[in-house]
Amino acid sequence: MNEPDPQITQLLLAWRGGDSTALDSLMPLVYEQLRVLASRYMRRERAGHTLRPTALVNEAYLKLLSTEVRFEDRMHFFAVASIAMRRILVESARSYRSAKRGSGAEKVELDDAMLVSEPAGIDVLDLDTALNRLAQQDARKARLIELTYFAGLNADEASAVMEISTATVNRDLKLARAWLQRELAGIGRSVE
Amino acid sequence: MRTLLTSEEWQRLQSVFDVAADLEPDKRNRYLEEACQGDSTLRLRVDSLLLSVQGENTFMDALGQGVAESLMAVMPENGDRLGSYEITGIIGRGGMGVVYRAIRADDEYRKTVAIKVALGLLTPDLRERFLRERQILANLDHPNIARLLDGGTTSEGIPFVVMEFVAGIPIDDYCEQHGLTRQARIELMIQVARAVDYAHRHLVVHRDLKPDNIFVTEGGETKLLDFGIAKALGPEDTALNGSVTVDAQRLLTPDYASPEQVRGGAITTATDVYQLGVLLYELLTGKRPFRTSGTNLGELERAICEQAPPKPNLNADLDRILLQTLEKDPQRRYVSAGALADDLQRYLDGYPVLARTPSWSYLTAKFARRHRFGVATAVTLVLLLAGFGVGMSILAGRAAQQARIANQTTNFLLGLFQANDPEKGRGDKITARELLDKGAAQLDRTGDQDPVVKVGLLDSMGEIFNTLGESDKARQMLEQALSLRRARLSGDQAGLSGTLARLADTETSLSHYDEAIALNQEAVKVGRNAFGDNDERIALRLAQISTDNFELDHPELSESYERQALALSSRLVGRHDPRTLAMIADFGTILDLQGKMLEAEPYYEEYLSAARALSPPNLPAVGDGLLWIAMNHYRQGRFIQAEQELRNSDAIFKQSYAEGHPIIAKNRDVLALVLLARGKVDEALQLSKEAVDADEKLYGPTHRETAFSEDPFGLALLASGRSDEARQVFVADLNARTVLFPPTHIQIAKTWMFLAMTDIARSNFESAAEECRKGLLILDRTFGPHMHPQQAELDAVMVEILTAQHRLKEAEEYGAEADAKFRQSLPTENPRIAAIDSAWGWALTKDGKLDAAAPLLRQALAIDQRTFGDEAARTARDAIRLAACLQGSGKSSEADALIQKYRSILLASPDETYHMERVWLTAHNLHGGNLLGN
Repeated sequence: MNEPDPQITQLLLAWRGGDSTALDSLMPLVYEQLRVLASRYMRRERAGHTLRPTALVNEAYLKLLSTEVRFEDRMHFFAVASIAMRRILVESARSYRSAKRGSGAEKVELDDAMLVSEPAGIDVLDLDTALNRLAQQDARKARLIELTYFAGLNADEASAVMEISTATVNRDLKLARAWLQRELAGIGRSVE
Repeated sequence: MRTLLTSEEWQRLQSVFDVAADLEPDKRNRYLEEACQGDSTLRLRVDSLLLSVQGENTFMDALGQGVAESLMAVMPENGDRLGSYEITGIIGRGGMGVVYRAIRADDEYRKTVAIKVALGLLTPDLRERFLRERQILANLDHPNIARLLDGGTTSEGIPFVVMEFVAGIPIDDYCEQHGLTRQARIELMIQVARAVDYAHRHLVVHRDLKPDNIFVTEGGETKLLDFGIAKALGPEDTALNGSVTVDAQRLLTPDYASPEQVRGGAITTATDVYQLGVLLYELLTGKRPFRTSGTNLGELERAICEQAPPKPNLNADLDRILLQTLEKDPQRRYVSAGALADDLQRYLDGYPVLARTPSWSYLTAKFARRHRFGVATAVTLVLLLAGFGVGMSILAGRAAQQARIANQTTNFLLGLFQANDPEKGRGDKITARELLDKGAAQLDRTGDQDPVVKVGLLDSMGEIFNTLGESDKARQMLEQALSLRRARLSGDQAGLSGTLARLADTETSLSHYDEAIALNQEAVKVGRNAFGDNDERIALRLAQISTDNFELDHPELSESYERQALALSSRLVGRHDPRTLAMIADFGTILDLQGKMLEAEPYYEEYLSAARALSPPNLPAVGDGLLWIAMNHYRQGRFIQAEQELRNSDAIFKQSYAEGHPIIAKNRDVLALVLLARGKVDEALQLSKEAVDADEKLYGPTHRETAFSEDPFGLALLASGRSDEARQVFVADLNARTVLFPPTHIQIAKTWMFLAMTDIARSNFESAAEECRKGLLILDRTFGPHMHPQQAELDAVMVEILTAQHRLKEAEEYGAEADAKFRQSLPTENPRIAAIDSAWGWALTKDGKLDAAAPLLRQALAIDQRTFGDEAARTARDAIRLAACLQGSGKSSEADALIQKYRSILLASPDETYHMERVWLTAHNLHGGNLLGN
C-alpha cells in the first residue's frame, strides 16, 4: 500500500460519528503510511540521519489529514499513530537483530525493509518489554508513555486524548518515567 | 524480576512519590520518614524511584524533562516579571516557545518588546538549540530582521529572548489591505530577499519563510520574524566528512515546503530561495503554486515534488524569475537570495533578467525522480554540501554509511521527546477510546461484515500484532482469517497464500518450526496455483522453509530447500539481486555448518565479490561477506587469512555502526577464536571478554545470540591456564544451550567437548571421557561416526583422554579409525587431522610402537607448523612428542634439536592441557637422557 488513502479524514469523522468499524479500517492505513514513511527514511542515506518517530508521525499526520481537520480528530490520529509507531520501532529493531544472527544465517524480508542501525544507549526492545510490564501494573501510565514518547504529544494533548487532567498526566508521567528508568536499568538483573 | 504491586500498594506508592518528588531534599527526607513510618519496603521503593528521577542517564533526561512540566505550571503569566521586563500579554505561540508582549518596567520609555520563552525546553539538546537561536539572533543586525535586544533565564531556569516588538501584519494581508500594485509588492519582496541574504551570509537558513513570519509595519518596512526553526550552519553542525547534520523537522507549513523539505533532504540556503519563490508567486498571482482541491496532503506533497507549477503568465521575465526560484533541483535555483533580489530589481529597472529560459522537463517529475537527492549549493565558502547516495542496499533497507554516530544517538534520543507545539485552536473535549484491543475485539464480533473486508482487516490486524511481538494475538487473528478464507473465500488463492505465509512467520517467531514448515509448504502449493511457479514469492517461501529446517537442525532438508530457492531466484531475478545474494550467503552457511567447508567457500566468495562490486559501495555488506568467509577459512584451518579478513571486517563494522552493535561483538568473537588458534592468547582473552560483556549487555546470558557464539572466552581462559574459570563458563553455556536448542544440536556437542578439554587440563580424565562421549554421541547420531569435522576434534580429544588413562590399545584403535575416515573427507593439511595424528602418535609412542608413531607425529608437526606457526604451544607440543619418540628410537640428535627449539615455548605456555608433555620435558632435563615418562 503505497498511496495515502484519501478516505482517512472521512474515516476519522465516521469514527467520531460513532461508526466503530471505521477505526478498524483506520488502523492499518495509519500503520501502513507510517511504515512507508519510515521505510523511505531508511532508504535514504543522509549524513547524520536519524529516525525520529515524532517527525514521522507528524509527517504522516500531514500526509493523511487535511489542514481543516479539527483538533479532536488530530488527537485521535495521534493516539492511533502512537501505537503504530511503537510497533514500527519494535519491528525494525527486531528484524535488524534477527538479520544479524550468528553463523551468517540471514533471512531478510525485503518488503519489510527497515533495518535501523540501533544507537548505543536506549534499546527499543527493552523499552517495549518494560512498557508491557508497566502496562500490567498501571495501564494508563503505559498508554501515556506511548502517547508522549511515540507520538510526541505534550501533556495537554495527552490529557485531551486520555480525558484526564493535565496535572494528573504530569504526575503519572513523572512516576512512569522513574519506574521505566529503573526497570530499564535493571533488565536482566534482579534488583529487589 | 521485580514483582508487580497490588493496586493498594501502587496507589500508596504513587501518592508518596508524587509529594516527595516535588520537595527539596531536606524537606523530602522528613516527609518520607513520616509518610513511610513502619513501612520500610515502601520507603525502599520510593527511594529507588527517586534515584531514577535524579539519575544522569540520558534516557531519563530526555524522557523526563521534555514533557515534564505542565505549561501552566512554569510559564510566565500576565504581570509576571522576567528580569527587568513585565509581561503584559501573550502574542502567540511560535516554533519553540510562547511569545509574550512585555514592557521594560524600569525604563522611562516603557518600550514594548516581544519575549519568547522556551516551551518546556528542558532537554539539553533543545535548550542548546534555543540558546543557539538566541546567539543567531544576536548576530543578526539588519533593519529588516526583528532584532534581539536581550536574553535571560526565568526563575525556573527556562531561557528566554527579548526581541524587538514588531507592530505589523503578515505580508500577504498587508499587500491585500493596501491594494499594492505589482511593482510595490516586488519592492517589498526585494527587501525581504535582501534580509534573507544577509542571514545567509551569517550562516543562517530560515527554513520557514511564510507570510506569518514576514511582517510589514505601518511604515511599509518588512521584518523577518521567528527564526525559531532556523538552522545555524556552524562548524559544530558539520560531521567529519564535511556534510551537514540534518534533523528531520516536523513540517510546519506544508504549503510552503520545498521539495527537499518534503522529502526530508538537506536544507540549505536554496530552500529559503524556494520559499521566497512560493511567496512571490502568491503575492503576484493571488494563488499558491501548488494546491490541491481535495483534503489530501499526500497529493500536495506529490505536487510539490513532481508537478510543474502553473505558468504564472504575468510577463515573460517575471515568469522566468518565478520559475527559477521554484526549480525542483536546488542547484538550478538562484544562487542566493541576493541574486534573486538583484534579478527582481533588474526587472523593475527594465533591464534584462538573468533568469534562465526554463525547459519544462526540468520541472517535471521525470527529472525529479531521475535526479538523486544531492543538494549542493555553491553559494559562499561557508555553505555546506550534503551529498546523498540512494544506494541499492544488498540487504534491503540497510543504510550504508552512518556518519556521526554519537550525534545520531543523542539526536535520536532527544528527538523523541521534542515537545510538540499545539496548533492554535483547541476544540472541545473528545471522547477517548481504547484503540487496538477494541478494534480486535470488534473484529471478533460476528456480523454482517463482508468477508472480503473482514478477512482484510484480520490479515492487517494479525500483521500488526505480529510485529508488535504479540505473536499469540497475531496467531488468533490470522487463524481466523485462514478459516474465513477456507470457508468463504476459497476462490482467492493469492490471498490465501498470503495469509498462510503470515501465519507461518508467526509460528516461526514462536519457534514452532514444524507448524511453520507445514504452513509454508501449503503457502507454496497454493501460491503455485495462484501465481504460477515462476514467482519470486515462491522462492522466498522456499528460503523460509529452509530457515525453519535450519532451526530444527535438519541440515540436509535445509540445504535442499535453499538450493531450490536459490535456483529459482537466480533464474527469476538474477544472481545479483539482493534476495538471491542473501540466499547465496545462506546456502554457504548451511553447507559450512555441515562441515562441507570447501563446497561452501565459492558461495561466500560470490557473495563477497558481489558486495564489493556494489555501486555505490555498501560497506556493511562487504563486512558481512568478509566475516562469513573468514569463518569458513577458520574452519578450514586457514587462520592467517581468516585473521586478516576479520580485522578488515572489524574496521568496516566499526566505521558503519555504533559501538555495542551486535555485529561488532560477533566479529570480535570470531576474531578471538582465530587469535587463539594463532596462539595470540592474551589478545584473544581480552577480545573475547569484551565480546561476552557486550553480548550479555545486549541480550542477557540466556539469549540464543549469546549461546550461538563460539565461546572463545572459555577457550581463551583455558589457554591462559585458568581452567577452573573456563569450566564455569562452559557449564553455564551448557545450561543455556540445553534450554535453547534441541538436544541433538551441534552446539551442545561442542560444549561437551569444551568441558572435556577443561577436565583434561585439570587431569580429571574420567569426567573428561564421559563428557567427550556425550558430545560424540550427539554428533554420531546426527551425522554418522567420523563424518563431521567437528567430530574429528572430539575424536582427537577422545584419543588424548584414553592415552592419559593409559588405555593405550583403545586409544590406538580409535585413532586409527578416525584417521582413516577423516583423511577421506577433510583436506589433507587440515589441523583436525593433525590433532588426531598427534594424539594417535602419542598413544603409539607411549605404547612403545615408535616406528609407527614417528611418521604420524612428523606429519602432525608439519601441519601445525604451517597452520599455527612455530610459536604456538600446540606446535611445540607436537615437537616435544616427536622428540620423545625419536629419543626412544635412539635418534638423540634430532630429538635434541627439537627440544632446543621448542622447550621454552612449551614451558612458557600456561595452558594446562600440555601438562604431560611438560612433565616429560622436565624429567628429560633432570635425567638428561632416555625417559619415556608416564
